Amino acid sequence: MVKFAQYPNDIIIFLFLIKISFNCLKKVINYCLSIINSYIRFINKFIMKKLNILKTIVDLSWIFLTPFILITLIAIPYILFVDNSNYLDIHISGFRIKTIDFPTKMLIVTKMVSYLILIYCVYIFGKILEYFQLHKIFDEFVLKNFNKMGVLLVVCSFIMGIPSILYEVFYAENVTITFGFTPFLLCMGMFFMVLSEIFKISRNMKEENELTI
Amino acid sequence: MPIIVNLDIMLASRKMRSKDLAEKIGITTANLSILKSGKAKAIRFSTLEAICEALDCQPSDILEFSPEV
Repeated sequence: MVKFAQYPNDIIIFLFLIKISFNCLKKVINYCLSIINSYIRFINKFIMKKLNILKTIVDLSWIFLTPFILITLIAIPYILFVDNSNYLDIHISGFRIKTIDFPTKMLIVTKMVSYLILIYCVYIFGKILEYFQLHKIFDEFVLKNFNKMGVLLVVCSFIMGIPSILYEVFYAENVTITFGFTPFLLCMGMFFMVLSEIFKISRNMKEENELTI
Repeated sequence: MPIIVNLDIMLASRKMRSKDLAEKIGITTANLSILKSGKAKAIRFSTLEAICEALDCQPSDILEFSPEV
């Protein structure tokens, strides 16, 4: 082991080297951060803003979901009126459905309807974002549709949840309560309803501000 | 609203046009029209002060309280 105390010059050189290396490291980190910052600024300024990104994502999901609407509209009468017990391999709540009788068919149809409602919610959300892009934030359309979205999501969560639980009770004879998709939808629905109320209050405040002379 | 704005009467008695008053107190004619028509929900003290100064009157000459029936 080298004893630095015996070599004072070595200590000074060692400390000097550490200082230089720290300075270099600092400069490199600063340089990297400045590059990242300029890149983020470039993205924000020239390519897209947050609202545009969200609108693009919602529009793309709407486009990808539109074929599902057609498939569902064709599938619902097929499931209800055609005897298809030999062809379908359906799992609901983790259970494979062996016998497809009328209640099971109704369960499948309600699930499909709930998915249709979800797609409609995506469509409404896209429309609301369109209004936001036009800077019509406190428009009556936005308030009404936020509330509508909330109500639809709450209804959807019940449509999704209750038949599944009933099916589990009567067919699988095994009830499991899972905090998964349905409570999340319920919370989302309530959130949109609350958001609608908040927008209503904000609109009143904006009006008051505008009408203060 | 139980608060009545008597700006019209004051303007007529001073033989002053709305446009002139708006220019004098530094607000837009649209805002003055809102104030005159009674659509305004609030009035700033600074605006009231400017109006009183321009029309040489008291706030009570401009604003009046009449309880709703």
